Amino acid sequence: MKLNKNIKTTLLSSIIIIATSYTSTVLAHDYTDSLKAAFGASATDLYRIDCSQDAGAASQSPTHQLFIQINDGSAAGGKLSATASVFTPGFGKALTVTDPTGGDGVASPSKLLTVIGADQQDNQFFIAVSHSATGLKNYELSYHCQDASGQHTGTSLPPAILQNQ
Amino acid sequence: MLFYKLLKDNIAVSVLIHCWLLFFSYSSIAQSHASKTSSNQLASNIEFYQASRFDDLRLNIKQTSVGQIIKLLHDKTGVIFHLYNLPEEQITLNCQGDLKAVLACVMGGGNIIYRYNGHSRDKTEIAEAWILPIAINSYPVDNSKKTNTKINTYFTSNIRIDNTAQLLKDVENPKLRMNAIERLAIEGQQGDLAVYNTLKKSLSDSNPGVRVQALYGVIRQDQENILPFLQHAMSDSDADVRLTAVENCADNPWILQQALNDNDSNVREFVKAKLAIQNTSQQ
Repeated sequence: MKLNKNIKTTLLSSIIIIATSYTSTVLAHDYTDSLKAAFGASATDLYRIDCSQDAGAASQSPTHQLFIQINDGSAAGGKLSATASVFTPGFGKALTVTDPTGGDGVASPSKLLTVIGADQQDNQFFIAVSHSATGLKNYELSYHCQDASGQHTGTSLPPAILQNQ
Repeated sequence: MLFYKLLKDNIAVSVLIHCWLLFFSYSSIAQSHASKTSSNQLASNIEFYQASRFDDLRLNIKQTSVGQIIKLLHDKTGVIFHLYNLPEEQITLNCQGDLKAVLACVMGGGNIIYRYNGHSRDKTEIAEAWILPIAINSYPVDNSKKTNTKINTYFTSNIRIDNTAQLLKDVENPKLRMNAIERLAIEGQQGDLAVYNTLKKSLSDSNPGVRVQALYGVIRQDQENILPFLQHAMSDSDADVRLTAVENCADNPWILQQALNDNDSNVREFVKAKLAIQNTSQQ
């Protein structure tokens, strides 16, 4: 009985040790671009992300969500935000990530935008990048299509550019 | 709390944890020792002479990999190197000259981009270098005028094209011109000569926003012959235009080199971020 208890305790301790020492790196598609000063505070870049089944991707499962994060590389130009959206006929949803301080090397918190309805092999998301004040602003957009367990599915890189300001 | 309770209740667990910590400490020491050993071994394969920090360098290299040579140069000169998929085979050769000449000798030419130390008196002191793989468009810009034979030569009856050209000619409001060129750049049919010519004319517009959109549109129209446009854009007075050129230059070393030494910090920081992402994606 005491031996069983010791084994259980040891096993549980090992799991805790392994769990606390394991570090994971979220691998995402990174894309750099900029908002030009000539377009003022209303400058907006617009992208389309195509999610698909890709034999080279970590997961062959249908796409469930889009991982999104943005890193503002410039102090000027106010706060930088990226709004991700997804649509089906008659429906749509969106969320926004914001990097409050530009040029500090710290990205915005990341967020996940889930698809509408059932997961699908092929899906499209849209990302609009904008800022709150006039000024030239460099940024790094991180995004990835994921299945329900967070594994990467096929993701287009570079994104299709729908508007470039 | 659970962790400490476990420790308190079970001495065997404590022993296990200590063994684990000792194992990782040993691994670190072993790794450090191994790197020292390989460094000594490396030194015996390379003879290095250095009259000054960056000038009159001489390397006699015997059966050493490019990565190890670059590491030595970093140790001797303090220059930070960024490497991309270097060849792994070992080389034997002799190189002599300033740092640039030695690097060109080691890399067999190659695409190397330098950032200079802005604090040095003559601003030729190299602070950082990116050694890129061979770029797709890695040839010097040919400034001779060439007609583009790949663009379709038919004229469209697209009303939008005609209106845009007229709009650009007559409208003084730069925002309207900007919007017109922007839509033409995105929505204009690729391979359409009328679209292409309209965008080309707008490259010399007085408004930088129009020039940005025109440059982007020209690049979309004809990606095989963009180098002259990119090179011209890099001498534009407006940072927005130069940034657009850098965004769309892929890994062209001439454009990236110019951008790295641009007088606008946004352009310099952008190219560094672009190179950093390229480095990450190739590891």
